[in-house]
Amino acid sequence: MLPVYESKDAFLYYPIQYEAQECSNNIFYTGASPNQQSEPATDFMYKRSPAAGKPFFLVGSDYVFPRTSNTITKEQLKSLGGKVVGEDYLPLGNTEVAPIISKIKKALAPSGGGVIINTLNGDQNVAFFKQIQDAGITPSNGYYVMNYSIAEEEISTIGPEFLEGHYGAWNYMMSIDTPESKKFAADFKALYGSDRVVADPQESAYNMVYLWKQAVEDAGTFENSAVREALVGQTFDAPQGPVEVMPNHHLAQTVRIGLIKPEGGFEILEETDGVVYPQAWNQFEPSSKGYACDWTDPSKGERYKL
Amino acid sequence: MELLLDSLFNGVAIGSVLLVAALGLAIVFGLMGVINLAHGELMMLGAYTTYVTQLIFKLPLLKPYYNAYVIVSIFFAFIVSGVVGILLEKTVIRKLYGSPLETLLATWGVSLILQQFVRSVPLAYGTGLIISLIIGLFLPSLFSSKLKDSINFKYVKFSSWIFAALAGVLSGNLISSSVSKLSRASARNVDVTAPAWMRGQVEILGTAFPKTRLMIIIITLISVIAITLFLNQSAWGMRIRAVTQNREMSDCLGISTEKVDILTFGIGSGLAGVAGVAVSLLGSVGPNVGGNYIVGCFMVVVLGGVGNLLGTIFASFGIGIMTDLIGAGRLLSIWPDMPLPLSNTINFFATTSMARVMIFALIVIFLQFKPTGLFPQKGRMVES
Repeated sequence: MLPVYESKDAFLYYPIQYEAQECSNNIFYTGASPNQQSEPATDFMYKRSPAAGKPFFLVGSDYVFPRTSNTITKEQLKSLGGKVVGEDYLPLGNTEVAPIISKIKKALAPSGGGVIINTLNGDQNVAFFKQIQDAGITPSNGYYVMNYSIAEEEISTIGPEFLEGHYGAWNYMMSIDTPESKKFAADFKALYGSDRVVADPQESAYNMVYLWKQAVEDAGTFENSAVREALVGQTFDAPQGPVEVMPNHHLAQTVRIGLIKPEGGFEILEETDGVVYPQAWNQFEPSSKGYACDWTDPSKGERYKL
Repeated sequence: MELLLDSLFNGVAIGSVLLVAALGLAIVFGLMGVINLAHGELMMLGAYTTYVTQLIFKLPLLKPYYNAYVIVSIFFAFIVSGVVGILLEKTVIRKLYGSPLETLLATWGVSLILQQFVRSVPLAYGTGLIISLIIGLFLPSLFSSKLKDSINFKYVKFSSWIFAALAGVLSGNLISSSVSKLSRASARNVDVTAPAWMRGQVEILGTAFPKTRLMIIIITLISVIAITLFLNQSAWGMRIRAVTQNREMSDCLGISTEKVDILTFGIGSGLAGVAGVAVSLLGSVGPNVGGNYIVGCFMVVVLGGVGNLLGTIFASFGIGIMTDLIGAGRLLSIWPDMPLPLSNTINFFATTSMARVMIFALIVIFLQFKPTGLFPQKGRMVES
C-alpha cells in the first residue's frame, strides 16, 4: 500500500498495531509501534510474570508482522539475557497446529514451561488455542502465552475458556477505569448492542477521526499537506488517556499489560505512568538501531542518524 | 519409545483429518470420475451445521442434552451436505458427465456461490432453506407405490414442494426468533466450542492424548468402516460398483444409473459434511474453511490412486506421518549428534511452511515414477 500512497501523495491513517521499521510522510500511525506493545510485553513476561526467567518460544502467522516483530523480540531478549528456544510460523490459512505443539513441548518442557509469544493472525488463533489446551499447554502447567493480536473481541469469539490465564498488551483496554474510557465503551454498546465489546483498534480509529478534526480546524482547510503539518503536535483526551501526535507521524500512547479473565476481557496488571513515545525505527534491531524519523525538519525526514 | 508413540499419534491425528476430508472426494472422484471443486465448501456446510446445532442445543428446551450435540451434528451434517450434494448433482453435474474440464469449472463456480451464500444469508434462513430442500426431495418417496400409480404423481411432487417451502419459511423464522446470533448475516468466522467432556486430555498407557484428536480419529475410523461395509456388503453398494465398472452393461441389466449417481454423489457429499464436523472442532468455521482443505484432499486422492479407498487411507496417513516427521524435526530428536550441514538442512525444513513444500516436492517426485498413484486402478475407466 505504501508505494501507492506515496506515488499519489495521498493520505492514510493506520490504526492497527504493527511492526514499524517504516516512517512515511503520507501515513499517520495511530496503532502501537513495537516499543509500545511488544517491547514492554516481552519485558514484563521476562521479569515479572509467573514464567519470569524461563525460555521463550515464538509462534506466528507466516507474513511480515510476526517475522519482523520476532526479530525485534529476539534482539531485545538477547540484551535482557533471555533465551529464545524456538520459532515457528504457520502458513496463512493453515490450521494444523500439531507439529508446532510438538516443537513447543520439546523446547519448553525441560524448563517446566515457559513463555510463548503469539503473533498469529485472526482465525488461526482459534485453532491454536483450542489445540494447545487439548495438548496440555496451559497456564496450570507453566506455559503462558503473551498475545499481540488478541483483543476483547477475539476473547469473546474464541471463548474465554480457552484463553484465561494468558496475557495481552495494548494501549486501550475496555476495563480501563476512567470516565473517558467508560463513556466510550457505553456509547459503543448503545450504538452496536449491549453484548458487543470495544477494543484497541476501534479506539485508535476513533482517536484518528478526532485528531484529524482538530488538525483541519487548526489548518483551516481540508487540503492534505496543510492538514499533515497541522496534525503534528495535536493532543487529544482519548479513552486510553492523553495522546499526542509526534513528528514521526506516530502517536504517543500509554501501554498496558492485561491478564485475560475467565469472564472475558482483560484485568489490567500494569500501566505505564505516562505516555510512551513511539519509535518508528526499532532500537534493538541492529539494522535500524540509532535511527529516527522526523517529518517537521526537512533536513531529517524519514530516516536520520541520532 | 515415548517419542515414537508421540510422533505416531501426531501423524495419525493429522492423517485422519486428511482422510475424513478426502474420503468423500475419493468416492466422487474415484467412483464417478467427477472433479468436484465444491468439496471444500460441502465440508464448510458441515462445519456450519455443527455451529447451528450447537446454538440450537443451547436453547432451554434442549439444554440438558447439550453434551450430545457433537454426535447429533454428525448426523445432521451428513444429511445437510448430502442434500446439497444431491441438489448439485441433479442440476449441474448430471449435465456434464464425461466433460471433466467443464465439471471442474462448474463446481468451482458452485464453490463461490456456496461461500457467498453463508456470507450473505442469515444462517437461520439458510437452515430453513436446507430443511425445505430435504422435505421437497424426500417427501414424495414416502408415499406408497399404490398411491403413486393411482394419482397423477406430478401433483404430489408439486404439492410436496409447496409444503416444503412453507415448512422452510416457518422453521427459518422459528430459528431466527429463538437464536439471535443466527438471525443476522455475517461474513465473519464463527466458533464451535467442544462440550466439556471432549476437552483436555485422556491418559492411555501413561501418555496423554488430546480428546478432540481421539474423537476425530474415531469419527474417521467409523466413516471408513461404514463406507467399506456399504460398498462391499449392501445391495446398493454392489450396484454402485457395477455402474463404476461398466455403465452401459449395468443399465442394460436394469440398474437405474440415475439413482446410483444420485446415491454416490450424495454419500460422497455427506462424508464431506462429516469431515466438516471434524474440522469445526479443530479451528474456526468460516466461508474460507473449505479452501484450506481442498488442495490437501486432491493430493491425497491423486497420491493414493483414483478409485481405490485403500490407497486413500495409505496416502492420507503417509502424508500425516511425513508432515509430523519433517515439520516437528523428529529426526533431530532421534539423532541429536548428526553432522552440522545435515542438521541445518533439517532445521530449515522443520517449520510447517517448509514441511508442506517438502511433502509436495516428494509427492511430485513420487508421481514421476508412479503417475497413477499408490494403488492404481486396474482395467479401464469407462466414461459415461
